[in-house]
Amino acid sequence: MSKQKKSETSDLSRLLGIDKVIHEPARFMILAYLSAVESADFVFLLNQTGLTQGNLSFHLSKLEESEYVGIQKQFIGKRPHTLLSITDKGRKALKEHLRVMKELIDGLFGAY
Amino acid sequence: MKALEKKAFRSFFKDGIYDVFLGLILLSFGLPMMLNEFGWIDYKTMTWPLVFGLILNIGALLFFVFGKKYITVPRLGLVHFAKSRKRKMRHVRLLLVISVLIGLVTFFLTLFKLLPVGGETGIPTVGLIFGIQALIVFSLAAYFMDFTRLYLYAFLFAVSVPVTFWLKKNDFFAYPSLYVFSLTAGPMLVVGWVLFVRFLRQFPIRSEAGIKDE
Repeated sequence: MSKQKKSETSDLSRLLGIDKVIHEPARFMILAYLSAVESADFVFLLNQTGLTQGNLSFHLSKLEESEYVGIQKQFIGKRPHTLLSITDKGRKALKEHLRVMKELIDGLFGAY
Repeated sequence: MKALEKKAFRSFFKDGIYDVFLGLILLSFGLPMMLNEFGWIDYKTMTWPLVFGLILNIGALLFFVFGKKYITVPRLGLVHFAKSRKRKMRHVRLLLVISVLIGLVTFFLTLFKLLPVGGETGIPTVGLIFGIQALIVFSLAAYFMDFTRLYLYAFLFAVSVPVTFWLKKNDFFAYPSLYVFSLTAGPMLVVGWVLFVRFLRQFPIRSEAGIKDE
């Protein structure tokens, strides 16, 4: 096996170590939007991401479990209102994920 | 991320409310001139032009504030933008305050006949100041807000009053302000209304299901 092949294999093995919570496209999209603003509500994310209510709700729960997203529930009048923001942990994890992915892509396809 | 933030911010211009608001504001300058040309109000007494202008301005402001609060936000959602965007919006607010102050000073100087009332061109100083100020203020606002249509509106605002006076002086048309303001405020109102109707169809009010407590 050539040196280049060896380095590619070792690079690919790094894929196993990436954060699977962020790597899921819908969750990645949610975190990307939340990292671009200070905070946003559920309806805003619904419109921007194009996800269904159930889907968005599910992925937000996952992100909250991992402490990547802070969820603040309140009532405006009689209507429920959910304000969401990315946590420091979430921002750090997103940055790290982007760095690893960039390195992997550069390492694998940089020559092309 | 910058592109994403820009896209999110610009999505709030889809409602057409800014367009209708600016169209009504520009019309508030033109309507008294039109009514004067039709012979319905006399410019010698400033009361009626002021009353008409004020009614349209208040109407535009109410449409903007309540439209954003009760029509746009329930449909597009609520978002607090990052500090960089808030800083840009502070610049826009400062620009508008300066613009209003210049407008008031110019208005009172004209009222007390302290500014020249048009020379060879027939364009009064107040009209020139209005045009230049509108071009500068709206172009800078368009830049800070990433609001591309506003550059065109800056131009339309800038030309409206000076061109009306110039046409009036040269006696090209019977009702110059009717033509000029139809071609300047008109497109803003039409674009705004079309966007507004499209927005209402495209974005129904969505009550949130909330997030499951697990």
